[in-house]
Amino acid sequence: MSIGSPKHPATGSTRTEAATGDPLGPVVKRWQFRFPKSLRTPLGFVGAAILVIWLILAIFAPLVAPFDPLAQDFPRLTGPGAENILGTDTLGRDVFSRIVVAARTTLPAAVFVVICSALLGSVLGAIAGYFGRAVDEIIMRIADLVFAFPTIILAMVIAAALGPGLKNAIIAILLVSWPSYARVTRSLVMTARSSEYVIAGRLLGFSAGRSLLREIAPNVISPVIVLATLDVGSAILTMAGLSFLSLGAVPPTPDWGAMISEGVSQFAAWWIAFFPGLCILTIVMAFNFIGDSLRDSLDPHTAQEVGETTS
Amino acid sequence: MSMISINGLNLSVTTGKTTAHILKDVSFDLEAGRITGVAGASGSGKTQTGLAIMGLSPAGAELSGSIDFDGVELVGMPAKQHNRLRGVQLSMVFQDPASAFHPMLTVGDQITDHLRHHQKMPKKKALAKAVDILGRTKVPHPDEAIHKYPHQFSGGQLQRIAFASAIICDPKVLIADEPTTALDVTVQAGILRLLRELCDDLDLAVLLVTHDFGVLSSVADTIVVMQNGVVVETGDRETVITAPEHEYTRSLIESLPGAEVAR
Amino acid sequence: MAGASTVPQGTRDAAPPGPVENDAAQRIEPPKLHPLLRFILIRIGISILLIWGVTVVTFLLTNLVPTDPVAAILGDRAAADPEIVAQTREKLGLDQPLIVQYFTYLSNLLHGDLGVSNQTRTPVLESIGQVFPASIELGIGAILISVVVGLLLGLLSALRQNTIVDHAIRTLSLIGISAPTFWIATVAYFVFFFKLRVVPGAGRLDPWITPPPKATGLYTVDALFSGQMATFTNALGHLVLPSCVLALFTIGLLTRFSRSSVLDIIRFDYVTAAKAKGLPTRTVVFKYIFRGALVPIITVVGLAFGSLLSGAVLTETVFAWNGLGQYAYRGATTLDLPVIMGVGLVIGIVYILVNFIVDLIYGFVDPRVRVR
Repeated sequence: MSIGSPKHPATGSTRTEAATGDPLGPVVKRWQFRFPKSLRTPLGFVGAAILVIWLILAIFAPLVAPFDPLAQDFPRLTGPGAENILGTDTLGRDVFSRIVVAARTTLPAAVFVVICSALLGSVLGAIAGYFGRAVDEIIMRIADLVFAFPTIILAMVIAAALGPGLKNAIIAILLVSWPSYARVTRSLVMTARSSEYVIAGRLLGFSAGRSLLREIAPNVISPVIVLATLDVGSAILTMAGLSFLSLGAVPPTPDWGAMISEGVSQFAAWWIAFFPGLCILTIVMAFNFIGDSLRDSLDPHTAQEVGETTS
Repeated sequence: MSMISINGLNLSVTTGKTTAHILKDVSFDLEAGRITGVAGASGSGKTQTGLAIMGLSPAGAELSGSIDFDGVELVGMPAKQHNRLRGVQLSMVFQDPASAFHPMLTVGDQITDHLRHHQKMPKKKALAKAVDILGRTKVPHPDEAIHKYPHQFSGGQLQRIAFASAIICDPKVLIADEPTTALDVTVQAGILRLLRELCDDLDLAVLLVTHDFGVLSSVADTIVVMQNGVVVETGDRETVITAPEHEYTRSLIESLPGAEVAR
Repeated sequence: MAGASTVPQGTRDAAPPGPVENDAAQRIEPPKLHPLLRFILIRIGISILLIWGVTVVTFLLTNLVPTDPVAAILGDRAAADPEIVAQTREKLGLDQPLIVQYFTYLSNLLHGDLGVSNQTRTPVLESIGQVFPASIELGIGAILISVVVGLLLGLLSALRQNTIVDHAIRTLSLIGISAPTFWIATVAYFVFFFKLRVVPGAGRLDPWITPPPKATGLYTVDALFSGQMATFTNALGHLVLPSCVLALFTIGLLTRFSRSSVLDIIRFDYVTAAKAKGLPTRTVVFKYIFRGALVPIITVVGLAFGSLLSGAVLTETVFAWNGLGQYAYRGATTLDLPVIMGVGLVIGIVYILVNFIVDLIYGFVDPRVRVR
């Protein structure tokens, strides 16, 4: 216990005195992860509210969108007004309809890619942490290599190599985002593996697999969920970045990043770029608000673990 | 005449919506040249009593009652004024010497910065005095020690350096919060002997906070026993140890190794 | 990368800010090299291995992907002729085994050959060399702004924990890391240039001003050296908005990190000890708290530089900033693979080098690494 146990002036007493309780304590403590309660912070509430609005918009997009997002029915570059509430783009399409419909691809794609990379990353991390040695080395060196690139750069390189398209963009993001889960899971598994209660379990004759699943998994699940929540935001940002570079969804599919790209040179028609960006901002913000509130409900050490890799 | 006289001290700390009453009507005195030992389990409020004298109670703390320091009232004293007493007249030594020093500053810097601040002493002169004081607290090679970093010392040496830092401004009161708890058993006795010497030579009023009754029975002149924020017993070492009045004190004494034999 | 197995994990995983107990294992093992030298050698080893790994990644991506490089080079009509295809394959060495191709690729890299742009037919390295200083200038501007602002906000937020100031800073920094940088760039450019006219237009200089004589390639520095004050102020004016925009994300990042770092430090006894010495608040905050918090923050600055590079690729285009980002943007939108791979490789290497330097600074700042 060299580092993690500074004496808190307020409590006064030593940690050793406090820690002599139930050896099963840590399990119970870390597993205390009540969603509704941890979202009761103002930020968590605002985030959840924004997210719910977006979910409703995305699910009922065909009903909400007043026009066909692909139809070039209107005069080009009309400002926001009575008919096209957010204006029209360079090809005379309704910006509002395109924005709403784009949510239908972006949201599920981001959630999907995060679930996949969380699964992939935590399984790899758990394997690395549990088995150690060569397995650990190979997996974590590959993870280091991915960390050697700034995220969007590696995603750009992969997406460009695979060719433009939503599917390839998803693969690219999956390939760049799994290592953070691997790191967190690995370190948690390693800590848990050497902790007293798992050793106690093994002394009682529980198999390695059993201790991995029953004792370690509960400790790993909540940080991974927090990390994943925060990661949906960065997945959306990366995806938008890729489509901004024309490496994401192929036109004419409505896509926020591509819409901003289209609007960059159109200064007279600010609405083309402004509203899609606002969509990205609000939805990424929602996930970050929720993730941040959830993280505060983790115990400090684990929260730091999660925080460092997301930065 | 007591150096510090604590009278009816109450401390409550409010965090969020809950308020914890940490000290309840605590009263005892510290005399110059005497070691007053406060014993008690963790959470009994013994450390908070020390921090209250220093004016370092945690955020959300509310103090009432009186702490009289040589005729000056410390409870309710403005923070700035209290800050002028800290380090100069009131000083403190902490439990874990390894965490009480900044890992990135030299020892010489850390044991003289209050000297330089309070007495406006130039750096060279302050360091010379530091070498002197370090010799006094028996730190080996004081002239080299001032240029070293905390991680280059053992725990016992660091605690000696901490005592040097505490006495460098010639204080009147020294609060030692569990000064031996984090140390090896082999060096504990040396540190306690140092504490005794400093107390006698410098005529310090020492408050020794510890959960280890054995430590108190060897160095304290007066023993104060606290339980749940209340002083349950006060008296001379001899009296408290040979004829404890309160049941909690008795249980503390009985928990000492060899206590059964003595009976 | 089994060769890295003897190498300990990066400092980012290892040394936390607090006091470290004497580790028995460290004492038993006799130090053969000076610890700092050992530390530097290890960091050099790790960096070289990572750079090698980066070349493997770019090589594999260029060669193992479904798109046929021959078709990309030849165009549709020529690619239909099997003979021309075979000749080109041979010419490009694509008929060789993969491992041979990799060594050819690696030796080309070592000779500075990153390939030729499919679009402009200019060597990639040459083009990168021309645009690189522009990005460096932007990156330095942005990192300076974000370090100063981010650290101060984080410190303020932590010292005022759970007050309105803290909540406001935390919320703003969360919003800061939620906004797509290229969108902020567009909006900022629209507002500050198009509407308010408080900043100069796109580019690194006004079009009627000739660039200063090239020494470093950084217009501000070059202009200063040659004493052209008018050019200097012009270049600086052009630099302000892009670097502020680029800094927004990293400010959010650094604010959040330095806040938690300072909060960690505040709990340590040495802060209480400093207060118990009656030191003025200013001394306690800057000499004790901030210094302790700085160590972990230093390592994050390297990471922040990575997000700056990513941000640059996406924002330079908006400001018509003729740097690496704009070059990458052109390459990406035209699917010019050699350009994209070249930029990826260069940014990967730069990122590794920056983190190497950051680790060195870390080693020099922390006496626990420096002296034994």
